[in-house]
Amino acid sequence: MRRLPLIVLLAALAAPGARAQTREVRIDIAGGGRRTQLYCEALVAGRLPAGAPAARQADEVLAGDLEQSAVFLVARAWSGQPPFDVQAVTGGRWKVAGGQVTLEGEVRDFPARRPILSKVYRGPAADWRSLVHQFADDIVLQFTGESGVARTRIAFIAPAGRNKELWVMDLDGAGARALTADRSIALSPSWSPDGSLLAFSTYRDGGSPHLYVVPAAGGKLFQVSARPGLNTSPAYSPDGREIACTLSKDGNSEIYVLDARGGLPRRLTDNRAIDTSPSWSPTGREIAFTSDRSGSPQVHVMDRDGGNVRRLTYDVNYTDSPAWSPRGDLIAFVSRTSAGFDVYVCGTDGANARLVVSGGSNENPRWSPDGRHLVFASNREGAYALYVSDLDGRSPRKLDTGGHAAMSPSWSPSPHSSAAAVPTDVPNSNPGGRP
Amino acid sequence: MTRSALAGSAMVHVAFLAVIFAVRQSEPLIVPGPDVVQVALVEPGAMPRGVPSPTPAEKAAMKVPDIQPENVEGVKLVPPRKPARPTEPAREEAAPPSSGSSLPYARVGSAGLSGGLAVDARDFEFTYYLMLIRNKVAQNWAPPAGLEGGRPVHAVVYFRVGRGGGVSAIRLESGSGIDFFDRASLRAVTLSDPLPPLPLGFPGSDLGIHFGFEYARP
Repeated sequence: MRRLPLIVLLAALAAPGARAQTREVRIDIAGGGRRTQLYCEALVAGRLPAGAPAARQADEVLAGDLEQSAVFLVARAWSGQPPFDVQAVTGGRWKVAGGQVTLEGEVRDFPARRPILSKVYRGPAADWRSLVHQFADDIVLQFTGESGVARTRIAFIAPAGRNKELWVMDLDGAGARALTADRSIALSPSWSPDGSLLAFSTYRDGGSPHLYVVPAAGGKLFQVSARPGLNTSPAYSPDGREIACTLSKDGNSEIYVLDARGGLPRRLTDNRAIDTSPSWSPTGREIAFTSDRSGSPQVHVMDRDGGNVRRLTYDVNYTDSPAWSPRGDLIAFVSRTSAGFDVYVCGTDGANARLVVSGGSNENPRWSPDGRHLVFASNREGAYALYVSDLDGRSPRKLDTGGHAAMSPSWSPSPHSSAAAVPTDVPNSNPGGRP
Repeated sequence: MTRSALAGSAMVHVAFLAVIFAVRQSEPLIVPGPDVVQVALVEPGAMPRGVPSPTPAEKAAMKVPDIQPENVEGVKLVPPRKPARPTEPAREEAAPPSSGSSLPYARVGSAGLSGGLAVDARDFEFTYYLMLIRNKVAQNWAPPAGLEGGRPVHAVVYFRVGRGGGVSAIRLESGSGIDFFDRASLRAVTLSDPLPPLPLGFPGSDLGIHFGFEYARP
């Protein structure tokens, strides 16, 4: 023990730089100060053909993606924002020729401007947004070790009059389109794990709701389950081979697992209570669901064969709409309040329940594929709209749904490289990127 | 006053001699406590004397290569240039804090936890990267329960980060003497895999990191 002050003194003598640095570095994990300060400089564009996507549009898409990632605090050079306390700079070149876009993206540290990331993206001019999203995801990867979600999509239900149709859009609101035009009521969409299909529930056949599947790119609907009574709340298993859902064919709402085509129903719950809203764990070994077996609706967890049922948490009452995090460590759910519902998150053992979103009614929380964000529907500003929470105490961000009211969102999985429509890993036959 | 000044002066002298002694011996010096990581965890060979360190401006000019964009991900690059390690003039530890090869201890989280780190490579100057690592490891560090108050508890974990961010060769470099504290430190590193990919401008194939964990009851 007596050596300690000597050693500290020694260190202070030998490394005055350490003292100087101590004052410069301010990090407070608990205070939400972990976001990296990023300075976005405008992409340098050559002469662009008429009608080509402008570099400024790409700048804004990139900065928006990086802001949405919850990893960065973004300053835009083209808005005259100064590079205050910046740790890295993004920029690069933007070229459009012969219907092809080339984005040479660069990230450098600041102020020394040593290279951190440099990559070329090429693709059809019509897909320019996708190229920019990919660059944004690579930047997030470079700073976190995990890819971002800029290329993901959101499915949602858009109410219009007495109807509710199924819609899908990019995370930033671009490319919104309706997948159904049934003049009926669609409910609770769920993405297949490869992102190609959406299962949902609809009253399009009249009478009671049936389960359908539709390609996420649009196309014909396929009926999956039209058994007597309710066919609702579908959820694809993580391997995509099965669909958990609620059926009331035996007179009471129970959780069933069907194969992906709707056959071979396997009943998981069996009691007089209402069991509904299944959500798979990412391993597929467990399912969270809502049951009112104890009097009021509460989230429960069971094994995939229906055994080992336990109530998720006793800390929060009247819970519903569970969503198991893709990281496997958390379950989001809602709890009833006088104004509607609040969003909570807790451990998969029910421990450490904490309020994530309140104010107005906040419903149907669903995770982003990286487990960093929750999308949910809320009437906090009037009409129902979609919001994203980054679970860090900041205010939720409203998603752009093109003016449509929106509810019941579902976040797509991350696109796998095979599914990417953009050829990014082309051989580098043109190292300078010059035409 | 004079007595304490005298004592202080004596300590300074002893300390100075000890520095020289420690450097000559080239022995790894493991020291607990804040501010120490700069000295203790840097390669012994990183502190030769008498070579003028480049000014920050010179260094910036020297270090920014005119890189060409690559189609492969930055993380998969094979080392693009030979690192000029043997001939590069080593910089003095006492140089102004432009040497990005270590981060001092700083509070991480609220419960008396602090973390600091140093890297093996002398030419690693990406401070942002060290901050990312400190944040990520700290996030995975569960505050130790059941530790007595009093003197700070300190452990150092060594590990290597590959170009793609993969963590390997995790070992306890300097234990705290408290088994569960050491295990919590190792666990924090293990849970942080993968870390962010190494920056493109760092030519090495991987990076060795000494991560210091410290807990002093608030």
